[in-house]
Amino acid sequence: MNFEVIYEEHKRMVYNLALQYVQNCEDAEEITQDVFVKVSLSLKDFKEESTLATWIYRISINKSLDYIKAKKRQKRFAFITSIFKEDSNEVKHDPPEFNHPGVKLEDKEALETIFKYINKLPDNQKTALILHKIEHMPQSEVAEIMEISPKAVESLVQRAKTNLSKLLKNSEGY
Amino acid sequence: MNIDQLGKIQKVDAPPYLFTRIQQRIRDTQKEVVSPFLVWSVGLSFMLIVGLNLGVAFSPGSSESTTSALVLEMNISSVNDLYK
Repeated sequence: MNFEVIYEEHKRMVYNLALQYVQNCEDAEEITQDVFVKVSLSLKDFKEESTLATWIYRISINKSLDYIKAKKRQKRFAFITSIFKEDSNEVKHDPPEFNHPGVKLEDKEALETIFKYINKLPDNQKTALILHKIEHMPQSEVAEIMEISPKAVESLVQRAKTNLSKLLKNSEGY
Repeated sequence: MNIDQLGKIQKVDAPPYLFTRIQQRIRDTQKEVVSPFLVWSVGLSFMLIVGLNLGVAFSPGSSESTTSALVLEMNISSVNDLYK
């Protein structure tokens, strides 16, 4: 299959999924590039055990989670070096800006807070919640992508919602 | 605040310039890949060098007598005292 056709058919899906993970245009663009480079290089190894979309979804999820981990590592390293370089003029802490183009201005504040707590959830709960609640996928499809049973997906989404509600209630309490 | 607000998020289009960047990155990645020919040539050269060294080190010709004969033939001083 032609790579350009694959890109055209899946670019929107990959970019939007990356946006749900990082809530930032620049980072989502980086992840989208990583995903399609990986797709292009691994296309010959694609065994058609799942659909192409499912395979690309899996790559997108892994790349997004890897990207977030790498950014956290980078931040920790920058923090440690800033301790030893007291006189440096470098920015010591730059919180990631919430820059989600799919969020309307009137919902920005509320969704920024919700995403702040989604980002604190364990990876599997976060993925299940994003795919089911934001990407509006049926549980069976989420199960196929995450390679778990639909029951497990249901449980993950439920736990994610419970944890999120607790975190939101705590934040509203202060 | 309600989790259902997540349903309000809209889908957006990917930026149009992304494909060019991806193509560039694919080209760069392919350039970085070392060809199997180069890997095999370097590996074989290394093994040849190691083999030759081992061959010389453990060959019967590398005995004490051969070394002395070489010293005599090339008029090399076998003492370290330079003023004698």
